[in-house]
Amino acid sequence: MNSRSYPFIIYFFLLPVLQVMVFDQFNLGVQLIPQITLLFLIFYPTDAEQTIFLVIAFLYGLYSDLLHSTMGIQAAACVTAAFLRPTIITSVFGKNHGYVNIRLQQTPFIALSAYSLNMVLLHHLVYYLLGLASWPKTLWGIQQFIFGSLYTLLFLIAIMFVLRKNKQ
Amino acid sequence: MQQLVNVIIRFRNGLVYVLLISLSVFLLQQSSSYHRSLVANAGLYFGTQLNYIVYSLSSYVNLRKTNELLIEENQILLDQLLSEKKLPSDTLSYSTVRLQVIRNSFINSYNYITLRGGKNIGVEKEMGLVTSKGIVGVVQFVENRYSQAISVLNKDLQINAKLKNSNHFGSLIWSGDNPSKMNLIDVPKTAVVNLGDTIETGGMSTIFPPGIPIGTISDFIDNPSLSFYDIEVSLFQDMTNLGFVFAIDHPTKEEVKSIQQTINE
Repeated sequence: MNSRSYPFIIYFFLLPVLQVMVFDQFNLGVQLIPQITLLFLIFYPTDAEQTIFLVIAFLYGLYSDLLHSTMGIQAAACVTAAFLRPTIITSVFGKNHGYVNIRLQQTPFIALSAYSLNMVLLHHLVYYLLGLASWPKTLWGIQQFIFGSLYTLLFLIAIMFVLRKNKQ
Repeated sequence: MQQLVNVIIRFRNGLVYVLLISLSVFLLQQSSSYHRSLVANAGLYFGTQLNYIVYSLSSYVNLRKTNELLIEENQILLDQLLSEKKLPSDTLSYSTVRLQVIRNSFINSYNYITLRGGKNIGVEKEMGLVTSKGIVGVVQFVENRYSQAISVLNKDLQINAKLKNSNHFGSLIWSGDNPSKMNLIDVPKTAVVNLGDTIETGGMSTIFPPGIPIGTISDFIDNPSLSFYDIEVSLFQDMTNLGFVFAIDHPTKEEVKSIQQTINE
């Protein structure tokens, strides 16, 4: 673990608590909440050991599950997003940029948004697939997945935009 | 052997992923109440403290709404008290415990309600939760000062219910999409079903006494190939807006359970 990973110990515990206390209140009905806990997976150092990141993502999801009584849904979604994160980074930032850390200040905002969108879509796909797990409700599930992803992305972009402006 | 170790090292991330995703799905799918209660108890411990802070902060904002709700509930209780005085009290008396809702989830498929009040005020497992408008859930875990209930908006919960104007019973379940609608299944086709008919608790368990209102029929499917109706029920209680709830203690719960146990043996 390098020194850049240390603040993430605080984020690990803080973000799910913030999610429950603040962002769960912004729900737009069943299964539609802005899941800002994804910020942890988006900004976790990319030069960190991938195997350890997978385990951390699993524990992070499990911790969110405990706070929401969702039993493994977040754990599965987080570990999938973490597993495919290197592929997303390569596809968004290109092969040469692949293992350069993603930073709020340095990374172009459009690229950051595109990367976040991919992470959100991947996470939400697993989240809604396991959360609903019912064929008769497939159309409703797809609707929830699309609106849920857009709602989360809206919040993530807003948070990143505000933090970026503040730091400048 | 060396080659095998090399393969494992090379594909370690994939293997770790498969292992962790399997563990997640196992956690999700396992239906053993023992494991569920282990995780739920841990969640209850951390979650209640956290949710109480949220509740304390938001209670000031919702003070006006809470007052209105209390007045409304007091009025209904007073009405009940007065009407009971007029009738001969030959029925069993159920005792109730008042609880504050400090967290009410309705955004998942399996929702829970966290309540302030536990063993210290006499809350027990499997007590039914109601408001003046209808049923809300069933107490599942009880700690000293807090308890957690399984919400009616939980795909795992089935409640015995019946049509108010006849004695046709069925099971009330939640399909997981709309928090204001539930489904009454297994009602035989011999029953006369009309839109707007009232559904109430059936009283075939020690959780809810019979006759507690649930909602009205908003739609029903009369499939000729099936011998049962699939009825959509519009709930009286707005499950997204809960302030205070009442836990009902069945007066002869232990006797009924002991009889059921004797029959099973």
